[in-house]
Amino acid sequence: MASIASATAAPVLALSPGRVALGRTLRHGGFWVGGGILLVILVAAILAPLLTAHDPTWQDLGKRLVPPVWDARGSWEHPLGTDQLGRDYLARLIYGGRISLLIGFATVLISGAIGTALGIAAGYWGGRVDLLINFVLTIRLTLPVVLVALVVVALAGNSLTILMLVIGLLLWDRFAIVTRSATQQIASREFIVAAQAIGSSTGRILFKEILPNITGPLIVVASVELAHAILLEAALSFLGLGVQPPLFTWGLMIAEAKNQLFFRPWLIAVPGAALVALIFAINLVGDAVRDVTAPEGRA
Amino acid sequence: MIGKTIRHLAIGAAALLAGSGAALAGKANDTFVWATGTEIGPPDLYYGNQREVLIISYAQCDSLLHRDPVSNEYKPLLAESWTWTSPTTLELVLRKGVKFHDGREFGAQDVADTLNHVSRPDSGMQIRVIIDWIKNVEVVAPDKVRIHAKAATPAALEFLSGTTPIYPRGHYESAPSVPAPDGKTRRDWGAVKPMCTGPYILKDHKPGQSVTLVKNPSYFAGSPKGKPQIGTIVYRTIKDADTQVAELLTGGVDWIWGVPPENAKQLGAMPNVVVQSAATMRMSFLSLDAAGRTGDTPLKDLRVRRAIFHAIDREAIAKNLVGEGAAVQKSLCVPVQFGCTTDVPDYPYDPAKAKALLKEAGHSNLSIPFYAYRDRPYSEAVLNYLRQAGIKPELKFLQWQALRPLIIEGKTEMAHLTFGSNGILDASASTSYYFRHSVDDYARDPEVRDWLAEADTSTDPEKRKALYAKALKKINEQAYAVPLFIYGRTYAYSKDFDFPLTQDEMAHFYMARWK
Amino acid sequence: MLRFIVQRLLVTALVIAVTSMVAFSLVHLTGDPAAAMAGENAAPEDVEAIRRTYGFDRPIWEQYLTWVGRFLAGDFGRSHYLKLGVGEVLAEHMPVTATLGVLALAFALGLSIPLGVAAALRPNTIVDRVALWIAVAGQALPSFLFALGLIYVFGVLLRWLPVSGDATWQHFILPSVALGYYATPAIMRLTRSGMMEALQSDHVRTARAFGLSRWRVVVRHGLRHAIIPVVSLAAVQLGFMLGGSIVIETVFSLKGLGYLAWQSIQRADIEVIQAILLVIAATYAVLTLLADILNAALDPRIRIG
Repeated sequence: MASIASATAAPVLALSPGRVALGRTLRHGGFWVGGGILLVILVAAILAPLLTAHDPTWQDLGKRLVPPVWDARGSWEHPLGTDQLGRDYLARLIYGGRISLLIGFATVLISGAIGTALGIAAGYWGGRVDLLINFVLTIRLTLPVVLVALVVVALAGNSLTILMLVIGLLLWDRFAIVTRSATQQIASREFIVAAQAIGSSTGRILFKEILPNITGPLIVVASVELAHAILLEAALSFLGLGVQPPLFTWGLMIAEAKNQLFFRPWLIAVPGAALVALIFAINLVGDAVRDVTAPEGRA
Repeated sequence: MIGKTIRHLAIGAAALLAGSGAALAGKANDTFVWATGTEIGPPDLYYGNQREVLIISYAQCDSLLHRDPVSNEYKPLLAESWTWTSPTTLELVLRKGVKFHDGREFGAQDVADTLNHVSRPDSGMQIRVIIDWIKNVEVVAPDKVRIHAKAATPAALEFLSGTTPIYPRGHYESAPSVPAPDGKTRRDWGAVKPMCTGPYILKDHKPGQSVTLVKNPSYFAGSPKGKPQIGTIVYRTIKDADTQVAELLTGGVDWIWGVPPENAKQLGAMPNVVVQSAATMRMSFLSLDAAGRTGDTPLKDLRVRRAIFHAIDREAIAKNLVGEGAAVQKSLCVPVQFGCTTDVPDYPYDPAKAKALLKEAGHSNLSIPFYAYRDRPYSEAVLNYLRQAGIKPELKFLQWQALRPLIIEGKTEMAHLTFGSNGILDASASTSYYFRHSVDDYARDPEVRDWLAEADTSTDPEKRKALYAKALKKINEQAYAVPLFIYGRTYAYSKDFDFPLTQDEMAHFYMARWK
Repeated sequence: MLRFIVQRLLVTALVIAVTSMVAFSLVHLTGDPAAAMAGENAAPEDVEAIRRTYGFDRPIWEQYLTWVGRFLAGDFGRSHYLKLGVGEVLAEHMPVTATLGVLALAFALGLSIPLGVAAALRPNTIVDRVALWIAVAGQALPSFLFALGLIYVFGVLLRWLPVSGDATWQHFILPSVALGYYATPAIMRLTRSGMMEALQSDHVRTARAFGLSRWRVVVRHGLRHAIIPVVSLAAVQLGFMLGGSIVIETVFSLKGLGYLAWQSIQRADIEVIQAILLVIAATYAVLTLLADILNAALDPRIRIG
């Protein structure tokens, strides 16, 4: 099983433990570009009501599919036009990041908690615990993520809660793999041995000694999984089983515009570009943290 | 610019399809190809209730009666004449000299075998309402059968036309035995290829891909369905709507339906294509929990229900969103159905009045779950109108299989539902379905129930009409449900093809010809 | 080595057994299969009838054992929608997905190995950066969006390739690119790091010192060592692709397993759904097993760890 783990986690496994070198991060170009985009999207999502006068769910069926301003028939009233229910597309774009980000962060909290707990346990205790956790991990990796998510959501219904739970319960594998190997590397180091020798409680060792020392790799995995969760929600939305209106995400906007590909491609291009920018920014930040915490592992 | 895109697309598709071995469609080959996105199994209407199977079944098979799709009159098909000898006994004299496609003579035993098989409680037939009224079928003579009904069934003639094809005696005996989850085996009745007497012969069926029908040269003269004209009719499953359009434009396909309204105009501008729209039998409405099945809901208040009525611009949804062929629905039935009246109280779109009514009822800030399962853009449009009137609906959009149990268990306060009455042209299939205290009835009005029960079993047409009208008026007066719109369908087909457009969401290809 | 293989075989068998339970309970516990199959507006009595006909009223473990027993005997169940044996249905859809998976993997390897080698030969230069960016772009692009983009550019604007269906080999080009691109970042990174490690190893330095041609050194001594983990990763990625092809197959209307799965979910054809879940999971498990054995055969060090 070890080789499965090493194969899938190879890019992040090569990390050496250590504290995140903040100063070096701040001098990293990718971090500034990615962080900048991320900040813009976050601020836009939070301050959405100040950025547009339109309500993103207000429909006007008399004004369906108005073209964007660069088209001869467009106007500044709806700079990006309107969608198939006559809703302002710019407003939907600005608000659309909110739920994507919420789903991303919530599922990373769930999957991060599960994966880290299992990973640290496997790495610290080793032996049978390790074997058992590895087995569970293998089962999880064997199940096709998109298909399982689709089956559950189709049969159990797709509320926001179910969606976050399903994605969160599916995406913990990388957390487990990375924390396990990071913990293994630390567990034999002097300060842990010393802590054990002076009789520190196991809980204290796990939370005060090990956890802080694996934050670097954890942040990297969290960034990967954040992007992964947002993409998975978008894929589910694309197949019609994502979030529910009046909530909407960029993935749902693309899904709703699917049939317009030939005649009104901008309806797909606009939310598509936003989604790509968000994922790209998250990846850049993650890569920057990886570069700084483990330069030799950058590849 | 958009017209240009379509032309590009058409030329592109032509270039791509060349050499792909697509079956040649069109007048020159006397082969008519139609396509939709549905995958179908063996086209047995009793075990596969897709619209496409209905279309194929009409062409391949005959029922006892035929309902003329234009005049809506019942005409003799496999039965030459029929009489009600008692309120629950229907006697039919059968046509002589009719042969099945395999050459066997058609007779009374075939009718009895087919109907007795499907009306068995464990037959596994999908739309039971069509045959559930039958107690049993008795062979009186080689050309005479007697159908015994469980109760008086004025809609029996409707059930016996079109939707109940007759197969030869012993037809289902060849059904394969397949493993059942209890470790034993069960018979998969639906796996038998239909064998019929109709104007077209089933030549080939590739599950999930295609069905090929060829003209029946010895189809009996005097059939109200007429002599078949087109040589070969091929059904193809093409999942992707854009591919359907591309194939239509390049002549790989002669007929498609369900063209989205926003694309209909562009498609109609193409030289080799005709685009037409027509109404269907599918209605779209809001079911409101007036009876309080879900508990103490604000929807028990008549003012709230009327406010919901006033809040929705049904005209805009039908005209602008659902598009050509669609119409505002006035009452809880489809106007083509017997007994359906549109002369009922109505509540025009008036958001201010809706708000005032809600305020009066003390529910200015009403938050309520809103269940839906089909055509999300339409549900979303309704939802947004409710929001604009100050109601806060929480949309729960589920797959049908997830929503259905909730409806049955009485958990859906407000649900956006659609129903096609199983293609039955009688208000007993729509109004009575929802208001006779069934699991779907969220009004539970005993008065309405009694009127409908009487209407459903009375044999006097005028009396039936009056009773349905009374029920429909009260339903709207009490705003038990909000009828929204009747779906339209847009058909697009080759200009060489003479398509008999009807208002019943059907394609009567056996009546079609080339121009 | 034999002990290693036997041990891995047992673990794989156990994994498949547990996965089959998960697949079965997912379908049976998250919803009511009888209600789902009964279809629109079925009366409660009809649902009850279906529940009895199909045996859904029996304890779930009993149903599971019956299902597994039949599965082992080669009977995969019956599609209640298509009225065909599940085995037949799977046999019809499997080749499409297998073709797509292999072509996608070929595309991924063909793009990422040269990129990885190039990056390793010129680390921290513009070559390295560009290679990395090409690969990373694959991570930021949602597969369905990439697929739609390919359709728009190559199908609508340029009209070079067909965009829907699986009639000819040309139909597989765009889907393979869309699916394969997703696997490039991981393979590229692994090739790059493996290559760098190999190039810094003693025997490569020695070979260089002996004046062997650069190309020969790269291929004979560098790539040969770097490729070992890539083979293993490629097998795992192929498994991922089989599971992830559902979106791509849907976009391109390719009638493969993913497409079938999505159709079956929509029409509640539960025996097909659970069979597909199991087949995909088992394929993944077997591919991983093969990768492990291959790895062990090529690199004896692994067997110890």
